[in-house]
Amino acid sequence: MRLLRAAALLIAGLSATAPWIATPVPWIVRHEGGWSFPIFGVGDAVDVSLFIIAGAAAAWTLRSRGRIAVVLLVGVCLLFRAVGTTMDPPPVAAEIVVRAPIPYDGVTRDLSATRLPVGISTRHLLGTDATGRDVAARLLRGVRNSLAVAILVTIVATGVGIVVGLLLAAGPPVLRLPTDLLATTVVAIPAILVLLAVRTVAGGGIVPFVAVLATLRIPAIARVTHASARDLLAAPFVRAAFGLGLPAVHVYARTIVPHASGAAYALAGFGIVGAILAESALGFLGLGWSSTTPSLGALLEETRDLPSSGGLVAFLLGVVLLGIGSVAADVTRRSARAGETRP
Amino acid sequence: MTLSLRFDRVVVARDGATVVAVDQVVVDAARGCVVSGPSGSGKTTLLRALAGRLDRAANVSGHLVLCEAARETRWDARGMPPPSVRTAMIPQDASAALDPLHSAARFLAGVADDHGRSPDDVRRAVAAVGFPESRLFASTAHLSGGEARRVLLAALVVADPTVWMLDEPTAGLDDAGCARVVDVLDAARASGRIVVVATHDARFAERTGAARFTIADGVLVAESRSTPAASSPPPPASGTPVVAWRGFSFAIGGARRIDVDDAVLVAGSVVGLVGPSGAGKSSFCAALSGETPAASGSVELDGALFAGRDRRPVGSARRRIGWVRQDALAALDPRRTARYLVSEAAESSGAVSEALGLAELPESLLARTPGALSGGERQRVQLARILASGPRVLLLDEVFAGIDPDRRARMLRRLRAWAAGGDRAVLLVTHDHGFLDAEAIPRFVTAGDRILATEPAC
Repeated sequence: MRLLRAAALLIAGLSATAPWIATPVPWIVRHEGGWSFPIFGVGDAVDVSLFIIAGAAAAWTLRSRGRIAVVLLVGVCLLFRAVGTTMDPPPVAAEIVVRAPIPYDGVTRDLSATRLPVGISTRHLLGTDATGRDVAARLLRGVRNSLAVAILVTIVATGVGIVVGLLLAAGPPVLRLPTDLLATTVVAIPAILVLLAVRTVAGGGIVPFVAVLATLRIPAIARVTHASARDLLAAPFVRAAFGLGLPAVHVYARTIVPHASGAAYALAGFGIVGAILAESALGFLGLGWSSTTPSLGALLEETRDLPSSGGLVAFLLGVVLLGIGSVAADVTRRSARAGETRP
Repeated sequence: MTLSLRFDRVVVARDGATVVAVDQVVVDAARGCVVSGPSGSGKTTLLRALAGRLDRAANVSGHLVLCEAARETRWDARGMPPPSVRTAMIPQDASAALDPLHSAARFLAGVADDHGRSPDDVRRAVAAVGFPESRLFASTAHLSGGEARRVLLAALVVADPTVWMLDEPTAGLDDAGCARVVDVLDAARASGRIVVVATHDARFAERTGAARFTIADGVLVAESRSTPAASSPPPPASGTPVVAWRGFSFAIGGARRIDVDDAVLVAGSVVGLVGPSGAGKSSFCAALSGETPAASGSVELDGALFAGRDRRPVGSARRRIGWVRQDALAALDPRRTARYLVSEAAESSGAVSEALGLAELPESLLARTPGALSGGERQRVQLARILASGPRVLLLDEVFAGIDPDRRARMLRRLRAWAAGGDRAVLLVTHDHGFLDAEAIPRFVTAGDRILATEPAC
């Protein structure tokens, strides 16, 4: 189990740094004027924020020494990125000294090297697909994209779910029946149907995709939050807080939410894995949020008929899912423990 | 010969949990003592500890000492009375204590035999307790509860031990029977015996004239002998009225309704509210502070309507009547530290430090969560929390229960100054008349379904 989790963390870490590991841009270049580091110029704001978020997540899950190492690493990378690009001279007669471990972006096609099996080329570690794209690069970037979408879905669903649950608990009872009916309806409709409908209306893209997946997850989170909040409203310490004349918003934010959201966080732990699975399934069916950006589902679909890399990719994805599930369960347990109080 | 029985920090525990504790109590032979208290409070356990007849799961710590002039005899480490001290106890379930195969006469003859008494002693004892001679030879199985009790009392008179213990001796006895028990006990005390009675019967306890104790929260404390009517009522309105209620009533437990006599608390006043548990003291606090709706009437604060039948205060208005709840553990967010809790609703940082001073909370406790504090500390955190929010009226609901007497007196002094300094009022809810007597605090009392302001004294 520990090995599995380590493997998952490694893959997740690699995928968080995918834009810099799987890129044709060289890391270190020597030219007449000296050295330069083109790698620090790579990546847009989204890439960098994902990198920071992954670093923060790793720091949170790790023990103290590993935590310091991760924070330092992320900090140094960001520092270099900030100063590295400005001191970058124009590459004249440059010579590549260190290239990226996977010198492909997984998007560019190379029709001279299609369907390469695993182990033939030292550069294509996992071979190439039918259009000559590097499978290893696509795997790293796919894990990264799918994980990012899953986390985004979970964050949106948990945030909105908690707010809806609290509104239900605080609001007039009249609201409950219609909300309940709505929630039941939402849960009853298959995600694929909703997504198909939304795609025809709103088109593809990441926003409708995340919105649909998150909406489907809101009812469960809202319901558990509602139940906890209703119990809490009767708890003496909550009544005492109201009795102190504190503003209702303050009591909700500082007293009720920390206690009521435990169950929602526990659901979120499972939710991430569920969201990855949902995202993969939809991607496999060609209903993913992008047809060009690599994602897990699309990757499975593309590699399943490749002679050697297909099985390997599926296996690696399984490891990633299990590992993320395990890490998520661990994090949830830890936050549940943090909420415990001594008698 | 002056005998007395001394309890020296006696704690009776069962399975590690304290059942009843007695700090320092001396029972004089001339007075005897009557222990009252709600059922289950440990009266019988206390008697059994005295008789050395506790079950195996229970144990006694501290010292039980019989003082005879300068000589002291202690109960041994296992809690058994010393051989020189003869103790005898009448159990609560009198009928079960008698062998149904024997008659009362045979039972008493056996007792007389054991203690070397003559048949004349038995006859005198039977006459003293008022047991009908015609019933002496009936099987004890056919005796009524009151008769069985009288047989046991007669046995006690025959045995004439040094320490007499009686558990509910008047249960099942009529007024005349009760009077006879009083006479018997008076005679025993007159002959220098120590009499310890556990009873619910207030009328009987009053008649014995013995020192009265009650078990409150597992602690034996002296009960105030003063009757509610004799205690001083709340002072009439002289000074700025802070809070007043008129025609006020509230519901407790659904069906019951408690009516409250009209009253005014003036600036700087500290007034008690006394009553047994279940009398509606906390519900009164809830209704007064606007947490629960009133059934009728109104509460006026600083001359303006605060709460009433159709009106409950909302938002920041509620902090003007601060209710320090009885159960501090439940009333504080278990996740937050004391520092956060005290400053959460504070008007200013100055209010926080003033409240911390009033509640005697040292800096070292502030980083702890409620679960890591003791009962008294928690209660002081809650008090500081509410004081910091700047109430006009403070309702202290059994707040001093877990706080030692010295600190309690100090805190009360400061609270008096606090109330007088800012034209504020304090209502002290307790079941302990003694504390209010000691501090000379006027009080409201509960009586059935009423809360009496009692008639103005002047």
